[in-house]
Amino acid sequence: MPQFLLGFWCGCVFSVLLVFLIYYSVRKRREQGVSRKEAVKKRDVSKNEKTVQDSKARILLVDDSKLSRKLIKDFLRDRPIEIAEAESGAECLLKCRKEKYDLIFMDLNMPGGSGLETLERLKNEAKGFPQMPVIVMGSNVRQESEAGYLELGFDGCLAKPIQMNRLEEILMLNLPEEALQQIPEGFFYQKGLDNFDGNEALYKETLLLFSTLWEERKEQLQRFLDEENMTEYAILIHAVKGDARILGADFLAELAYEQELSAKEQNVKAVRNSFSKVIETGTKTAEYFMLSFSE
Amino acid sequence: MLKKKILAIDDSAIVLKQLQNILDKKFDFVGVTSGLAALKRLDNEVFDLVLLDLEMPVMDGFATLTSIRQREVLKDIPIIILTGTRHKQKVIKGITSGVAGYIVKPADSEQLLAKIETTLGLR
Repeated sequence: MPQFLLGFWCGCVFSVLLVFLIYYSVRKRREQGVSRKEAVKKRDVSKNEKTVQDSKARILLVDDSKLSRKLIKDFLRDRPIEIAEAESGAECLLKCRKEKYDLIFMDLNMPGGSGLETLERLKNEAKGFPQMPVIVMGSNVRQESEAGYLELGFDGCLAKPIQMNRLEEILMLNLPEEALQQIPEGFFYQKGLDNFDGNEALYKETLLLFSTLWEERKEQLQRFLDEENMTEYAILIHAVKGDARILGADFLAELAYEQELSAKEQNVKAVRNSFSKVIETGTKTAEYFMLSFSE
Repeated sequence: MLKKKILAIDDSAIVLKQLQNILDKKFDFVGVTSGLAALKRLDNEVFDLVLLDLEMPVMDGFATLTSIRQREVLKDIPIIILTGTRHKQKVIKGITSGVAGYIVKPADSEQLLAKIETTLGLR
């Protein structure tokens, strides 16, 4: 056979083999991505068995930029989410060998090991992988290129500067429902923290104290209402108002204040009409504090 | 120099926590949740100033104030009212009952410290 024909056929065979190799490689990565997503979605812990600790999601922020990590941490501050940090791929791997995370945010460009290199090592070395979604982020990351990042094995991408609505979307797609606990209406964390002069540890301890006191207070308010004892009702709802105000739960404080006024006027009907609203708000607030701020 | 000792009387443990956070570094702070508990402490210890909530169950702020003033050794102890009330009448009644002033809850740390230190002659 003439040499050029031989060369032609060898080239064809080689090209076909190369195409098949690329096809199966991409298909395998996609399957891994799908199985990781399915594993995340299939997380099924019975609600009755859950403790507050189980309900808290755990996120790992991997970025050499302290500012980037702080931006995300500040956004998540009011949520029942534990946040761990790593400044490098190496530190990320150390943490992931010991702990499992519900979600990892990984900067694409880091000194000493890129986000992609770290992802490859995570596959082999991390505890609980592949059930840890990894979101790549960076100033060169573009939302429209997400398909490409998925093919590389990431589970999504987040462009910098970080858009908070995109961050919220990623949380909704990847975290269990309990971690997405809505902040109660009219609760202002910073306002409450300011009343404690920025002493975050004491503020959180006091938020939990409110939760602990709430169950008994709820029962007492019900009892005073049943007895139509507006004098005692007024005193207790006054305390609820004061506590809510100190803690930054302004909406609850206003509801309690309106009830206090009605109770002082001995207006049982008005108190009864607004009772379920104040109890519902107080209960949601207490549950949110317990879920979000317990250790 | 010994720290001045302050007794805070408020039925809310949360309010007492907030006050303690503001005052603990500069003063010897004691918090109690009832007028009766306050009288027990005042009968047995020496305090330099009292912070008193007006609205408390069983023995309210005014009843507690009256009981304090009936004690010879306590007739001149400075008392600052803590009030969450938007009703001015109660505050005015408190002031004419011989208290040193009032602070609206939630207490602003700078205002509270200024009021206490001025009352105690520390400023």
